[in-house]
Amino acid sequence: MGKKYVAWVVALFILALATGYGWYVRILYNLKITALSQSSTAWGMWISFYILFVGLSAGAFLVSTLVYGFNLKEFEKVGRYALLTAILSLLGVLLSILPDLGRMERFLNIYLSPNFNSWMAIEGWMYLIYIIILLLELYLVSRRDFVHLSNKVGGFKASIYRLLALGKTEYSEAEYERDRKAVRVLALIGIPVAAIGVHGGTGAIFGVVGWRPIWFGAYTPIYFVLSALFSGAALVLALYTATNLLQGRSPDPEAVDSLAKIVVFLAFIELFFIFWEVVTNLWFTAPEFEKEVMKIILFGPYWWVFWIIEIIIGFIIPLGILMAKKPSSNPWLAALAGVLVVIGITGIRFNIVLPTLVETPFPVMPVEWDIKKMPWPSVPGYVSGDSVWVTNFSQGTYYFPTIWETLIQISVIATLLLLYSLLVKFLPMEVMEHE
Amino acid sequence: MTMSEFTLKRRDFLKLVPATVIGLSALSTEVRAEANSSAVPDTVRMSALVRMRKELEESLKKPMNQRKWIMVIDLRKCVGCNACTVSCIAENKTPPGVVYRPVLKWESGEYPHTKLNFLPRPCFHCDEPPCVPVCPVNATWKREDGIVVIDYDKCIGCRYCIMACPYGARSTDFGYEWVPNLGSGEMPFANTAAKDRHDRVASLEYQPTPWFSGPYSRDRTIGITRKCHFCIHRIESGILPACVTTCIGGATYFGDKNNPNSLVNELLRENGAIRLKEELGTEPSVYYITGTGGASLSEMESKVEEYREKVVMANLPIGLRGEDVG
Repeated sequence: MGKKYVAWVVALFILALATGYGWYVRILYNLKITALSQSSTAWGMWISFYILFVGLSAGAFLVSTLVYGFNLKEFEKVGRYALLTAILSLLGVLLSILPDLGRMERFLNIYLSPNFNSWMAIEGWMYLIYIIILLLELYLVSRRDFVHLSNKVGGFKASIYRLLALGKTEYSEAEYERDRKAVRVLALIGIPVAAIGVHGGTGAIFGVVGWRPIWFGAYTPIYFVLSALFSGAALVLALYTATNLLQGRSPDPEAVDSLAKIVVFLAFIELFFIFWEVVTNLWFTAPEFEKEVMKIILFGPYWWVFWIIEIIIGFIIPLGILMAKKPSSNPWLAALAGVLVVIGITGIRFNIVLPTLVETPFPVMPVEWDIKKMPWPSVPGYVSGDSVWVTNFSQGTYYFPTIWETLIQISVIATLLLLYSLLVKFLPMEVMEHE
Repeated sequence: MTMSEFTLKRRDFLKLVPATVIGLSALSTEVRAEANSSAVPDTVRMSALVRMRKELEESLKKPMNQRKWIMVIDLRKCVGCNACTVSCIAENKTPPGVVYRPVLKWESGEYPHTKLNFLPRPCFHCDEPPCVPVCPVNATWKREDGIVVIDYDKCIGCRYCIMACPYGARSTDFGYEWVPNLGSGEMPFANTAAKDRHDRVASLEYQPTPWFSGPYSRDRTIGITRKCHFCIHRIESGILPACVTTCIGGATYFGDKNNPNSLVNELLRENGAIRLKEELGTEPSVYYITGTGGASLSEMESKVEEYREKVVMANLPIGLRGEDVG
């Protein structure tokens, strides 16, 4: 365990703990601390990150199915990284949606009294099935190594491995074959669960809202799944490469190049989708509404999300990096490209959730939402009478996350990175040679 | 049929005419006589509010699935005074950021031909509510009498229904308060002059009721979605919704759509009424009378203005019409 690794883990721990103060404020003052309470948008940053993490998870999982479902040898080294990424992203989903619920203590209601007419409930149940599949799969693919490690290492670590191996000391070839088959079945079952249930389902949450421009339509779930594949593959590329480099190993060049190839290929399909979304919405012949929302995306107050984060950071730079030279010749750059793609996809997620909410149901909306004159950060105070009865605003107010929302989101990301850093050290991530 | 037959018939018919006229006029006298006698319900001569309340009581005698509450808002009479908004806040003790019945106001036209438009907007209690099927936890549903309600003790606060409602009728209770212990029935400023009876009455929004179980608490509604429920607690005790009784122009009507003789049905029969965003197929239970039966919000603007010019202005003394009298 190098000094650098310890410093990294400690830094992440401190960051997660410090920004975790946001959780304290959130629990104490509820949604009052969000910018949602002061704008016409009812969903914001947390929902955007929620769909980002769902996508990352589904994408990473689909990369793992290339290994475990379809037996593509060039990705074999990446398989467990992809599974771990998928599991931790799912944790990110839970941690991002929880603070957004006005009553987070009631989130189990989705399992206790579900309404299966609602895609949100369907998605919640699929999430449960999906996480069971993922955990089982990761366990089964690492079982042989757990047995092996419990015999090899000593001390405290061995006892944990022994526990994970369920006391097994022998692992026969027949058992290995059986587990491989089980993993294959799980991976194949997982594809519809991940692509249709969890991620397509998240897209359907938005896609079924009939009157919301940009959201409504069959396009949304498809676009969600495509972006998921794109972002998931990029994240696996980044994490696999960076983890190996940081541990002083060189990543498998074949795996890096194949992953990079997938990322580049998906980037072009994604660009193709974005292009036609912009075109159809700008040239829309019927209601003015659709056009307005597309104009908000392109030239409104969030223009920089589209042009800078999505297009430049998410596509142009990483495509340049990955296409200029063989990615495996400079794996650090490949990892950077992966991270940039994930940042770009974050922009895409924001642009799905926010701009359409800026347009309010009627050309004018009542002032009761206009409590912007609150002292900021608006924690426990009361609203004075005249600040609420001022004027109507002709459009919704623009949402920008508050410091508390940002802190919680940073703490979620730091927690996930911390868990990842700890788990890759502990779990047998590399495929071991067993004689 | 031959020609002669036809003429014969025609002649016969013409013979009948005088008799018919006499008969008809006799009938109408009868109707008038009946209207004056006590056999006809008093409601004909009653003020709208009294009549609506009588009808409410009558409808309450029926089982719940045989009544269907609707609201009719006469935009020609709305003056944009916000009395309904304020009375609703007072009745339901809603916190800042939660207003069940705002009055949307906007200017239209170009100077000097500008005007203000008013549109009171309660919850529309749609027959096909888009907000209900999206709720992941079954916390909101349409009652048999047409009212869309929310179970405050079940809602997880995901705000999906807010996304689905095309009218913006739902809002989140973020936990702001006008006064400490809002709606608790405690005196907020016990030592000051604000000793209205209203302040001492606990709001039913925060109390256990037959349809919302749970202990009283302001916290009960924090973080969840709230919306207009046609003053469900008042209706069940035979009183009209607060916005109806306080409307100074008498522009808001409330009643049972299943009662063919109700005032609301009479208004709908006699006036062209529209519903908002009809194209979405939500089938709202709130109707707007615009004057000449407009079809859309933009058309409504001009129709209401036309009515004002024709009826209101014509009845004003010339000096008050704001016109050039030359």
